[in-house]
Amino acid sequence: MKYDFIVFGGTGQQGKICSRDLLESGYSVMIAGRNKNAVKKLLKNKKTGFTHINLSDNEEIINAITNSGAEVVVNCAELVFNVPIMRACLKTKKSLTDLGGLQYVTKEQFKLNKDFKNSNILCLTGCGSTPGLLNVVVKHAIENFDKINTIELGFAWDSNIKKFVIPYSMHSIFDEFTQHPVTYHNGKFLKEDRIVCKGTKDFKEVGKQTVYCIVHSEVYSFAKYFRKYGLKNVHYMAGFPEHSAKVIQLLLDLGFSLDKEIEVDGVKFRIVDFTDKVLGRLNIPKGYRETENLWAEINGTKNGKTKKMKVDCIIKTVKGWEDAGSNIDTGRTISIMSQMIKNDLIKEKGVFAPEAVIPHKLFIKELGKREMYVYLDNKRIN
Amino acid sequence: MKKYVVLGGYGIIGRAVVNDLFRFSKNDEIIIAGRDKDKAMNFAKSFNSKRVKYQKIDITNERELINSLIGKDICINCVQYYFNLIIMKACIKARTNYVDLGGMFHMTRKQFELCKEFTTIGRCAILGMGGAPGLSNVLASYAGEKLKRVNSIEIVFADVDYTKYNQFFVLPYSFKTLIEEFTLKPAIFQDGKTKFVEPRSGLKEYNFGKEFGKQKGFLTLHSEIATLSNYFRKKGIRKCEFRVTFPDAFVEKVSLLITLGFSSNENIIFREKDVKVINATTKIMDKLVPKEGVRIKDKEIIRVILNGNKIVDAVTQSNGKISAGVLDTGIPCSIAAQGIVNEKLCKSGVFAPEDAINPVLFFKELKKRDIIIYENGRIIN
Repeated sequence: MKYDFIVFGGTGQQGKICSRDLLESGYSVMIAGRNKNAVKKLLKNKKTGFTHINLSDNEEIINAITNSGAEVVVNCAELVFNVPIMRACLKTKKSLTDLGGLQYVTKEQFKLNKDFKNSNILCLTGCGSTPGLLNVVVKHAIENFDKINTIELGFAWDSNIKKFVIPYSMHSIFDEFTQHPVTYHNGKFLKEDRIVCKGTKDFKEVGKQTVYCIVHSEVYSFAKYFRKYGLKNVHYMAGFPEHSAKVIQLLLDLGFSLDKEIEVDGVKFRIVDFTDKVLGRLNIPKGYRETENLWAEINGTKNGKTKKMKVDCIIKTVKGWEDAGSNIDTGRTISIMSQMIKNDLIKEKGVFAPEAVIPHKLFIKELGKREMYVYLDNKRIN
Repeated sequence: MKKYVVLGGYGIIGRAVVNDLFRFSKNDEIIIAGRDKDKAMNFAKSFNSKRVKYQKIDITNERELINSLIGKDICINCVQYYFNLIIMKACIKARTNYVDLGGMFHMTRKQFELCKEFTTIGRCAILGMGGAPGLSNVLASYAGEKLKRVNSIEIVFADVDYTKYNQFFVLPYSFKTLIEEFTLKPAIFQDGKTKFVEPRSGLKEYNFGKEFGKQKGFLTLHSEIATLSNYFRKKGIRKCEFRVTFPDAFVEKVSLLITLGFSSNENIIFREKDVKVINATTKIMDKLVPKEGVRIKDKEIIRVILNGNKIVDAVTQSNGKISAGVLDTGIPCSIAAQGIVNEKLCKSGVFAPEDAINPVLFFKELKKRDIIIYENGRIIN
């Protein structure tokens, strides 16, 4: 059987959400992952296939893409696999989407721009919630400006039950919390101190939260795409509710985030993988609901006058998607963007972040269909 | 020349025992034993003395264990308590005296069932002879001797730490032991009966005076409840409880790890092989014991309160290299072992510390090691 999409990391949290969204949109999906049991439900759908994959083996990636016959490759795996999967796409001449690579991997990915262009294929990197959804919404908002000076953006979230549930990939969270945040300041990239670079913000849906500067690819891609608007400053900030931040900090302090191999009971493994597995066993409490508030504040000018604009995207736990919490904004966003590539709605070839090429009005409409609502200056637009 | 075998002699407590034996048992031979030959050898060599030897022993190999104990005067068991019964049985076959650091209530009860065998071979075993249990039991027997009736006993210990650590979190002792204190159902003796209550329940604040201040403790599983309730039965005991104190922030962190599932006894799968969660967590956490080279400056108090107002304390301070909590565990064990070997402290059989130890002589020995005993605030040793 020839599939419409192949989803790498398809048995992980985001891979499952994305695959389900693709299937519910009527497409066929080859799920490539390590844990077939995790996608038992999805495999009941006749349009779904499964292939076991070791992403450390480049040949396996190439074979999986070829054998699936998929037109578009969707990469929901950890960011360390972004470049190997891109190279496999170059070999097989398939376009792809991924969930982003913070700044350091994103930079490496953009180096392949020419190769993708020459191969007449597209790589859309950073297609989750943030980076991803928020980038496109910011691009939409920027159309209201002649010039922009500063963009502050980020996410904040909370839950009705104050119990720790994995917010998103623990690997990514540990990366974000351990690497020096980079900001774009007066037209230059600056390494900041996370402890110093923090503040308190009041959010539309989740109230007051402490926010920290963290390393994120938007700083890099906004500086790249919006420089023509005169953009000088980009700051990215993450807001975790206290009950979640406390757990993350504890695990960091105790060394549970280390990418170091240990041997226990005769088996060698990385500490961070162990942590991920243990936390993955936590049950989502009954009645647990999350609300995520993706946000941006844009400062610039319109017709020579100073202008400010507030962007909010509100994502709540959706009926029928309870086990995904507010993570639907990552897995479903990459699904929407991947569908846009398949349906030939994006003509550009090369390596791009979503804000550069995604048709934003159509995209925002698709978000609305999935109960992800966008507000400009507190006014809902979808 | 007497011969002491210290199982786990290069471990945290084992080292304190060996140091004390070396210092106070000058003509005797000490054998540092354990499964890691290199660790045993390196520690033995650090004494630069022919009296200190080392031996690789796999305690799960019965024959090897028995052979290593034959001809020795005593086996000092400083390994995890899960092995207590195996080691005691080996001592019976090797006709060797025995002392250990405790058996978390349930194991201690099983160990007493070997009393007949120890009596038959004419050897002595003292169970739970560290700080608590151990020193705590002797404090209780000392104070109880002065009272006509003993209605209640409360045991609690607390720490004050002035050390400048270069780490976010300091693990005071083995993570496995800590987790058991936090998760196993504590035994209490109440209205003349042993009961089991919820882990971390019975929170109570104690005022330890100027230096240790007020500290909160929760009930935890300890073998004193099994032995002291029996020892004081004739004096009418109705209540016996053991509490452990930790700073609130420490309790919060350990509790969080438990809630997150890091103390689970279940397996997770890596490359199609099972790994026990608690074993992996222990491996990660045990790296958080104070690093070598840190100058430790702490004090520990073990307090026993009888009838609500008779208070006896043992206060230990670190020696710079070894923490107070390790010293007050290792030293009592060493003193008891020397007592068994040299003074025939107990006849033959299996004993709790309160049955075997003469408090006054014991306190004198503690004084030589700077462990001070207070009776209602007055120094008595």
